[in-house]
Amino acid sequence: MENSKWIPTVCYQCKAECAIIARVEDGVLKEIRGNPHARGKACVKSMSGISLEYSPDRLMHPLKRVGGRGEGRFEPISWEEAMEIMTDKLQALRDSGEAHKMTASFFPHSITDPKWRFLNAYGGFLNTALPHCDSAKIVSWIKTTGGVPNHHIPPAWFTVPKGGIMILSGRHAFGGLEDAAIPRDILDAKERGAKLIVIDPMFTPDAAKADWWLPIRPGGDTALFAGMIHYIIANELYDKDFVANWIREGDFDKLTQWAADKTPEQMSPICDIPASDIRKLADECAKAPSVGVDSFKGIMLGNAMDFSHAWCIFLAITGNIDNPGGQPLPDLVPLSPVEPVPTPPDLHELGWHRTGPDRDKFEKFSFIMEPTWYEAQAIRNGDLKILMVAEANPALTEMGDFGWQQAVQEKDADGNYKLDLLVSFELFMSETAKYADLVLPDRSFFERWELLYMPWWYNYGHGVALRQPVVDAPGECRHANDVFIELGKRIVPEYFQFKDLIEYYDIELSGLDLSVEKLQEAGGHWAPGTMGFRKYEQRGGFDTPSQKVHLYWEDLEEAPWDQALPRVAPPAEYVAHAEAFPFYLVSYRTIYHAGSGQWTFNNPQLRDKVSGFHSNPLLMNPAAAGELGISEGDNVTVQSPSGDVEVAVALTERIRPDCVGLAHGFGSTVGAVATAAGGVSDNRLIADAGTTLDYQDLIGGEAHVSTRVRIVT
Amino acid sequence: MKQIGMMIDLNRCIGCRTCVVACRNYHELFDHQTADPDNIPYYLRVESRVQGAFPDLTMDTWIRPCQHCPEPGCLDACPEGAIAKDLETGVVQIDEEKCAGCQAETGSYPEEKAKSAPCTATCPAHLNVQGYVNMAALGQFDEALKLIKKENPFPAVCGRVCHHPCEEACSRGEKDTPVAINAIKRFIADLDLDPETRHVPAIKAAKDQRVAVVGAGPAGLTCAYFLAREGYPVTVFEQLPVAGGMMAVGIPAYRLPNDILEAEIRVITDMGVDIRTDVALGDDVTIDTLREDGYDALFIASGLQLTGRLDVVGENLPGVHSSLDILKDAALGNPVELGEKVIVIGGGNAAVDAALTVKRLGAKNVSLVCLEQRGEMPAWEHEINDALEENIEIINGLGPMRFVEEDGRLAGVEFQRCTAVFDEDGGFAPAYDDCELTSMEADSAIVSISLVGEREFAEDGGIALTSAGRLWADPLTLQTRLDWVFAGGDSVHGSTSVIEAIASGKQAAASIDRYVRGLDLKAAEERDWTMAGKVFREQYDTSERVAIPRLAPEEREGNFNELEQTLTQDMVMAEAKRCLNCGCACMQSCPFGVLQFDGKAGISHKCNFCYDLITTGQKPVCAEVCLTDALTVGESELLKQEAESRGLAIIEELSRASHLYVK
Ligand SMILES: Cc1cc2nc3c(=O)[nH]c(=O)nc-3n(C[C@H](O)[C@H](O)[C@H](O)COP(=O)(O)OP(=O)(O)OC[C@H]3O[C@@H](n4cnc5c(N)ncnc54)[C@H](O)[C@@H]3O)c2cc1C
Ligand code: SF4
Ligand code: SF4
Repeated sequence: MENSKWIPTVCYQCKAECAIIARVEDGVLKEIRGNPHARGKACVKSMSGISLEYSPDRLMHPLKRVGGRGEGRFEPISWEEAMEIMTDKLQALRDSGEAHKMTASFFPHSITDPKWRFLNAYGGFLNTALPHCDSAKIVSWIKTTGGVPNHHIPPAWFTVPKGGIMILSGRHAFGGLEDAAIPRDILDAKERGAKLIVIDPMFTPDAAKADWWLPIRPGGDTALFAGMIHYIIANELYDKDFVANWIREGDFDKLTQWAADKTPEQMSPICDIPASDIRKLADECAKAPSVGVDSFKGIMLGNAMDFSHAWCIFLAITGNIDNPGGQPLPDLVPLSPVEPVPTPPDLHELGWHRTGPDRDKFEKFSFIMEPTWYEAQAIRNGDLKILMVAEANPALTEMGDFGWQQAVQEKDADGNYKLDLLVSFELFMSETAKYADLVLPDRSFFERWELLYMPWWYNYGHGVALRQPVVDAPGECRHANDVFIELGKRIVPEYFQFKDLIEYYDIELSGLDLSVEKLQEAGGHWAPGTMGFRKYEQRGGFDTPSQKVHLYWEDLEEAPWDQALPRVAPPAEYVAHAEAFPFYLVSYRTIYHAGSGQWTFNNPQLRDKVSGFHSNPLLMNPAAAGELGISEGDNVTVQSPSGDVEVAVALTERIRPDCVGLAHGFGSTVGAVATAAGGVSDNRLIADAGTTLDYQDLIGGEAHVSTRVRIVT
Repeated sequence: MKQIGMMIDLNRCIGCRTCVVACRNYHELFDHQTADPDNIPYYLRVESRVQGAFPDLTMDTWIRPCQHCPEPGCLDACPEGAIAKDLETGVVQIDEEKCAGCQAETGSYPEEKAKSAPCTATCPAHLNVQGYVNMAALGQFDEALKLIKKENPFPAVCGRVCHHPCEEACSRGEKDTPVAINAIKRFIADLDLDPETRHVPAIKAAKDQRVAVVGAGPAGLTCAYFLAREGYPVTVFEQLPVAGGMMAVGIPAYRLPNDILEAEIRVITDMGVDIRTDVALGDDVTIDTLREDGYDALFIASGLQLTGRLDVVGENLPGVHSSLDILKDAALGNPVELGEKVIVIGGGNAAVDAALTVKRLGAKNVSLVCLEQRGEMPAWEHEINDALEENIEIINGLGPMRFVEEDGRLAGVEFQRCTAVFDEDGGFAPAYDDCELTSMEADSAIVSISLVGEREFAEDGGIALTSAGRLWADPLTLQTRLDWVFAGGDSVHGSTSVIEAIASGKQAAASIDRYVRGLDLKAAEERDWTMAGKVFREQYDTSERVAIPRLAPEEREGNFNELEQTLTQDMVMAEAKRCLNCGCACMQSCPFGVLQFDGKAGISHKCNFCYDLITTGQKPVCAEVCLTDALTVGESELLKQEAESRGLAIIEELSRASHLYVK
């Protein structure tokens, strides 16, 4: 293997973006490993990246729609023609003073992203085209400590001491999405004598390794934590020093009052965990040297903020903030600005809201980024004219009954599409691309430059990482970032004075005394040093207005309901329709697939039964199935208040009898592999958040992963 | 020889399959083009086990690469000698040059080729038929015998009496006629008759636990053979003065000569099995006394020794016999007085054997009368043909109504017409027309209807019985309700065949081994014998099936000379070349199912422990990429020490070869 070399780069099979090395032999990608100079691990999705790279389904040339939207008929065009179409439309919209009616959907995985710069310079908006999995956690931590951990910042498990407790509450940590080294770290901590406690309605691979599995009723997490908080306060087991010195005055008293009636006995019927177990867990946590909590599905329900809040309180009163084994708070190292820095348009200043006529109804809900359902709403209102989608698949990701797909097909009185231009950057033909006017062949993560600077990488010890081309791109593929830079140069040239992407990154890196070349020499990544613990002590406080930890959120005291302290009731989406729809839908994840994108679902290795996850049957407990006369392999209809899917049943003891499980993200109708392997979309069962506003949390939380269902044979 | 192995820590493996894909990439098993998930080659797979019921559950996951067995089944099975064990490392490797993919036509149906050949899948004892047939084609008879005796201690017997369901399944049958598998086996097995060429399997280190077996039929002796091979001291108790069960006293000598059976039993006694004849369970020993004598496990394979009764008038008259008694007396050389005209009542194999036996003993006129029409008769087709060849009159559709007495002994039998043997559901429920009577004169009648077992010893010993009156044993483990007592063979499964009794004895041996080692019996892995469903080869040797030489009917009269003859070596080699090689021989012998067929190269392939990496001081890819650091590589013996020092228990039922599965 003389012409073989290992090149450091960054995986992008999921949003964790692990540092990897790729082996290239005579220009052909052969193997992947975790980057031994970083965290050292890469998961099965990453290993399967080679099948993504060489998929026969890759788009190679720009395409222009010829039929109606959704028909999926295209003809090849030149890049120049595509650029002209986009430039003309964008220029015209901006000239008419309506630049804010342009949106780009992409995953904001790095604040260095030039697409974001283009949006700010142009005057458009970012819409993630993703529901807000972690907004509740982000908002809660900002409110509590002023820090910004998101779900990519789990406790630093490699710092958990002997006797420390690791709690996974609705979190399949062995399934990735955070760094691929997490499973190793958790198991290492266990071998050191730490305890793993898994709280989950399903017996996950994590639960299989746990010291204790608590099969909680879905949505019961807030009640469980409230019961523990009650026990800890009532028995004076809280961290007295931390409470006295670092919690805002008065907050602990308000908490004590609130907690008075949250006895384990009162909480037990809500979460279906025996009061004795609530007490035992609370007692163990209060006495352990550290407690770290991670959650994911638990912060995706309509009461997500309540749970994140309860979890913040629990960690604060047990002294588990920014300590080894507890919740780390990131410390950001700023990059250098690329002058002139464009200012993003201010929605409020513009006196404008995406939801137009429904503004009053929507405005009390503040989402930190706009979720998918705003897109459909805005198109119908005439407030969204140009939509450019990259690395996202809103047509399949959105909840509800094909609202997005209908909206992009809606026409005005003159017979023109209300959405004037829809552009999709993709590796494969996707659900979304089928509706697009222009389908542009993107470059895979093995073919492009990308500087990744992500606050959530903080506790993995790498601050900046470089994705670099390891193989040539096929056909005429161009990276969306390069296309956006060229659009910038054509439309807002004052903000795009740099030569190319490399120069742009070099400027950003200059403050760290780095450059793209230096990063390459340094093995592809740079770390600021150690993570540091209890940084608030040296700094004399937290980044909150009072510089103390806030447990009580007075800004949420008022209407539509009081949320200054957590509400323990089950999530609204579970209370509504409980009689007619007896089962809870558990939409679970596996390590093999990420989101609902074609990247993993159209990958043969990740759909192969030996190396991946083929299709998604409905998981049912045999006892519950038996009562309905359902046997293994039977086809059933799963009905929710807003939709239904037909699926085969797989019986397993690994799920609560009152729950049914459906793996998330399946249901693609394009791609040779994806369609051959089949599967159904769980999203079809979930109501559009815009139609069920009373399920939604005030800030951040969005009822978007679960609902009640019934099974019809 | 050094043996390198892997320690797989079940506390750490999370079943993520990262290793599976990394292994595929390194060995370039996938072209990344084919959009056919589920037919991508692989060298290792993840297995898992969930136990318990909600909410008290455990789940384990582990990987299953090639186990680099100390005594690899694949190596024995390969007719080309393409599989070898590396002396330095103990790694089992396939030589790509030598492997002929069992004569695959490159690229032809790789997924089919990876399945088991229909013959192997169908054989109740799953002999590697394709393997030994191919070895025979190459003239490697010693290797072939060794391969056969891995699964079957009675090949010479089976080569004569087996009803060979393998031939029914043989793919060649779809083209013209099946390969004469049984005749080939018989030729190979006859090497066992000669002390010079016979195969006595190697015996593992002696074990302390003692096992008792009741019944020296094929089930009991097979169990003894496999346990002796594992190193257990085994004692077999047999009520008759001879060993062999129905092979000795049921199947007549003209089909199975005594010396053949004795030679194969001698191999078993030479392996150290102690066979004690004239000892009956229930009379001379009991389940309790065996326990008191310190046996750790007991296998009961007492067969079915009694003939069912007709319950008609005159059944107790002198001159009315049971077929089993006649056959037994003939086999043991006891005098048999029957007269000239004999009527055999019954349509099964035992009835046919009895008819042909009394013919040889001197009866002039033998009729076989049964309820069933010709096509419904339970006897195997070839047995019926034998009877017809020897002028046995077969009268179908009559049921005995009474035995006619004259001077205190039998003078004839009265039959009524049977209008239907089975009810609508196919159950045995004969209906008669009592207006239509037939009388036949006879000096003797031989009743040969169902076989039944003795139950007294079972009832006394606390062994549960089934509603059909047979011994009850768990179908997977053959354990009875007494945990140390196992039962199998005909006494459990009803009247079957020698090969099924062998399969049952083998199953019992595996179960008893687990039992005495304290392993979970239920964890026994049932191998999935997915059958190749297509005939692959476009080009093949189109010769016709060999004709098996037989004694002409007139040469058979008055003697018990063997009816079918052994093929010559040339005939065997020619016949063996007719095999279409449906699957790959190595794949069919690997107990772990880790070999695969590489459709592109047309050869079989498997994990080679990343030989190039481990011999240059690196880790194999799976261990290198494992997400949880669950895999440790080292010398097998050292790994055992490491497991012990880390307080990890070895999971015996998974650690069957060179890798250690620990928790
Ligand atoms: C006449 C006849 C012809 C057959 N022909 C064929 C054939 O051609 N091909 C074929 O495949 N199959 C044939 N079979 C079927 C085959 O022989 C049986 O299925 C097979 O022998 C069953 O094996 P077994 O070990 O379970 O029982 P058996 O062979 O019956 O052996 C059981 C042994 O246990 C002994 N025993 C019983 N009770 C006790 C006790 N209490 N204490 C001590 N010992 C005891 C018996 O004496 C006997 O030796 C034939 C069967 C019969 C009856
Ligand atoms: S291929 Fe199968 S039989 Fe051969 S050494 Fe490997 S595990 Fe053993
Ligand atoms: S990579 Fe490791 S943890 Fe994952 S399946 Fe393989 S052995 Fe198990």
